[in-house]
Amino acid sequence: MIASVMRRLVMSVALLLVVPAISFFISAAAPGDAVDTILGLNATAEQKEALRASLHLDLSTWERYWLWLVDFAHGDMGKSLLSGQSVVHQLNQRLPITLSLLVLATALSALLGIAAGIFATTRRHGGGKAVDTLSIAGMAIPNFWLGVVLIEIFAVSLGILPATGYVPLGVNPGLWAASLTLPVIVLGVSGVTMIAKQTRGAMIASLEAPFIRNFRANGAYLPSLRYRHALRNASVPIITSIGLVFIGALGGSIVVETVFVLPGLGAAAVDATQAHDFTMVQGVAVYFTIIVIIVNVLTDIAAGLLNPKMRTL
Amino acid sequence: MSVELVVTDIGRGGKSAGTSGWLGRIAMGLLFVLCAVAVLAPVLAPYDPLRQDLMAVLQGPSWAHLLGTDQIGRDVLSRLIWGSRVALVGVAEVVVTATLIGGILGLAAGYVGGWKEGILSRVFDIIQAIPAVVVLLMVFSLSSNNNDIGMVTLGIMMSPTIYRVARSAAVAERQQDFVRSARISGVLSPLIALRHVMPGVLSPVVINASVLGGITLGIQAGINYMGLGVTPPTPSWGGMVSEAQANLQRQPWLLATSGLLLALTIAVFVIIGDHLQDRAHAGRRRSKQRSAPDRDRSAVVSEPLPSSDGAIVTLDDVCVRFGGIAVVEHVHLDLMPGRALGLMGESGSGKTVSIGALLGLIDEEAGGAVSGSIVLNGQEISGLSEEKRRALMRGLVGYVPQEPMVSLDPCFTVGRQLEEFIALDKTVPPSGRRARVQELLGLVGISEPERVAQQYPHQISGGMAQRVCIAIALAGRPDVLIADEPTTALDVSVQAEILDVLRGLQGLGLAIMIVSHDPGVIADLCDDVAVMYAGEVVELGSTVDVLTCPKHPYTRGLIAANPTMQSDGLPQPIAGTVPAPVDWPEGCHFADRCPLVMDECRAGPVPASQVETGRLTRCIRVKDSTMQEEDK
Repeated sequence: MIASVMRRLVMSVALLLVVPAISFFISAAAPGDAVDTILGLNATAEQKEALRASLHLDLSTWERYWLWLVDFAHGDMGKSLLSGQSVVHQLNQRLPITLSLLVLATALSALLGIAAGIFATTRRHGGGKAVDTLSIAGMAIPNFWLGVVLIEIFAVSLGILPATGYVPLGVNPGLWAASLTLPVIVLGVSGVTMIAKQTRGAMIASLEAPFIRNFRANGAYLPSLRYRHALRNASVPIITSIGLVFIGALGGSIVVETVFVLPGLGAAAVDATQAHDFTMVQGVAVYFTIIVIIVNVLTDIAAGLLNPKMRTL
Repeated sequence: MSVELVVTDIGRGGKSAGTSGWLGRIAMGLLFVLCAVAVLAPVLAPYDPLRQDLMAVLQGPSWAHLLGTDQIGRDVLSRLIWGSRVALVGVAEVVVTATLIGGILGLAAGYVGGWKEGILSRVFDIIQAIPAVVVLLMVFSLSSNNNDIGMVTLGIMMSPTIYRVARSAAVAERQQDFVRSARISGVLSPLIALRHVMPGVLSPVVINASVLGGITLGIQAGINYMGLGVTPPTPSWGGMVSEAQANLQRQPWLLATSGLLLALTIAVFVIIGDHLQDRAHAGRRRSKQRSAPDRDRSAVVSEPLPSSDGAIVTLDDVCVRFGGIAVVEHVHLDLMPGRALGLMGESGSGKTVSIGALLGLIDEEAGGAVSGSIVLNGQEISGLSEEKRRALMRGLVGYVPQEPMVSLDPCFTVGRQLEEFIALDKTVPPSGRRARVQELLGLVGISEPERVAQQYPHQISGGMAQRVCIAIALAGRPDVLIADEPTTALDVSVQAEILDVLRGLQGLGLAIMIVSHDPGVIADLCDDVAVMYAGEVVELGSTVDVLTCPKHPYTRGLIAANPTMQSDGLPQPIAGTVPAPVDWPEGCHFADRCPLVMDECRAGPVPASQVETGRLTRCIRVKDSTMQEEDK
């Protein structure tokens, strides 16, 4: 377990170094620079020079990267090119929205996925077919389109849920739940089939293990074999797939936040992209990377706790 | 564009049952049509996709506009047709980039191996862990929304999926004999890589590239929906969904056209991937399978068999088939209370399958079928449902498995596993279960039951695990113990200890059935022995009689092959191996390896005959062979 945690730590540090590096080297390769974006085309040469110096654009890419890392170590990711406000400050305000969306959507995926996976295991052949068919449907239906369709049904036609917008939990819990319902459903359904497939595959593999044969021959009850032994043995792959679904939902959250106009990290990234506010996009990339790292660590810990071989080392 | 982003190769690992052949072919046809539409867009589109007609906005389908018009009167059909160019060009850019980078580097890494492979794999691990869409946004924000640069970037971000499948396929190919020999014989390395490894790598890469195409289309459309990449007024399917959303209340129809076309096209890519995978699987299966000769063996007439009166377990005329191929035929066995019966024979003779039939472990869903009669304690159990059968067997039959190390649940302590089976014994109150755990572990000779009960299976030795398995078998206080090669997986010194435990149980009055390929084990423990060969019982009798005066040539061969049973200590193995069920001879199953074989032996099925009271032999030359033995 210690070795796997160490490997994960090394990977995490590498990720945290690589993601901002990518952004710096892309920006070095890109035509034009942020100064034109901020000042527009009519600015004087002196204005440009001054801003260039304040943004460290007169330094080499490596030097800028190093300065960014030093700032980052102090919790500073620069200022938005557009608003001039601290990137960290702005993103921290948006973080709870994205996190609640991600956590709730993953919980929904896990709940439905594990249930569907168990159901498919108990009906072996038909179950596999159903899960496979659903998984094609799950991949084929674009989440933004599903979102708009649900808005049409529940907001426009039925009028029971808000079409867009966000109400903070502290302001009104009921409206908070209502504003997140459709986004969570849209983001959550895409992970269901993945978890269902993993659950079914891992449970079937467990049910074919020699110890199940031994227990069956010695008279163990079928529910115990399925839910006590097979499901317990399948729990590590299931947890791993939940972690992957959470990470996958990061990409999905960008689109879903745009569809439902939720002021989260993803929406910030899209707005910033359209406004060429590069430091902001970079900030979201780093936030997402940190979320990936945390989810991976949590998944590893959970998998380690569930595996007696790791726990007793 | 969410989950599958990261985990395609995991999520789509298995064989898909969702698509049969015709669906795959339809999907391929549709993809061809789509490509043709994209190429011929200028010819096919009835209108200029940018031509506005403010007199005809937000119309439903009509003859003038087959799919209606949008908010500024542009023809929806024409925009969809032109949008297919954006979609397919984008998919092509991503898939080609990902396949070139992932495919070539994966092939190289898998072929070269070693630390270079390790480094490459870590690099792709890192790429895979980076949220692709955010990187895409960074590129768009810096490249003034250049769609081509964006799609190539997306291709790089998606390349780990292809890298992984290419690498593992290349590793598998590298380990094949002909590639190894080609390497040794000095053919240039890159040449081998191409000539031998390529074909095996190509198929999984193409399969995953197709699925990747579908995922890509979803991501790309999402990007376009958000107003990035391809932007209005250029028609893109994702952009059209966004426009439909803006006019949702006035014309919901707009939402259907672009969305359904998008979903259909993504499904086409995914289904083609599944279809190719199914075909690859089917090809592999075909090359493995051989056709089994269709034989009817039901006409075998057996002589009356020894009576089963008083037996606690009786198998009568039990046959087991897998996918129509007989693997056990006409087996008759009686286990008397308090006695020990050995089932002896080489691997593949049908011993384990026979007790599998008795224990109800033949998987019918996997094509297994059991016929004949199985009587347990006077009750016929062969036709019963799984649940009724288990209910009858609980407290009557215990089972000891072949490989103790994998026969315990790795996730539970020894004590908790044992408690589950103690709970099946209604005479033990819940409060008494822990004491019973200690009692059972003591019974099988574990000196520190307290400590062992708290350990997980991976913490105990093989011999200890087998003792625990015996304790599990005993938990329900059975009258019958079925042990399948109980000592085979263990060290020699431990084997003797386990045999001691079993001998001790015999003293407690249990009837025991032991499967073993080892005449020494049988001689040590069993009162009676049934010798099995190629699915049949070829000799049956008391252990002393059978081992000292074997009547069947196979039994003699088995004894001669066992070093511990030879006075001179020189084993003489039987030439050849047990034939696979599909290769069983028409006549005597042992004919091909028998030193006494005659033409009549091959003429037809050989019935079992009673040579002495309680002795059965399935050999037409039994008289001759006995004489020959006596001549020696």
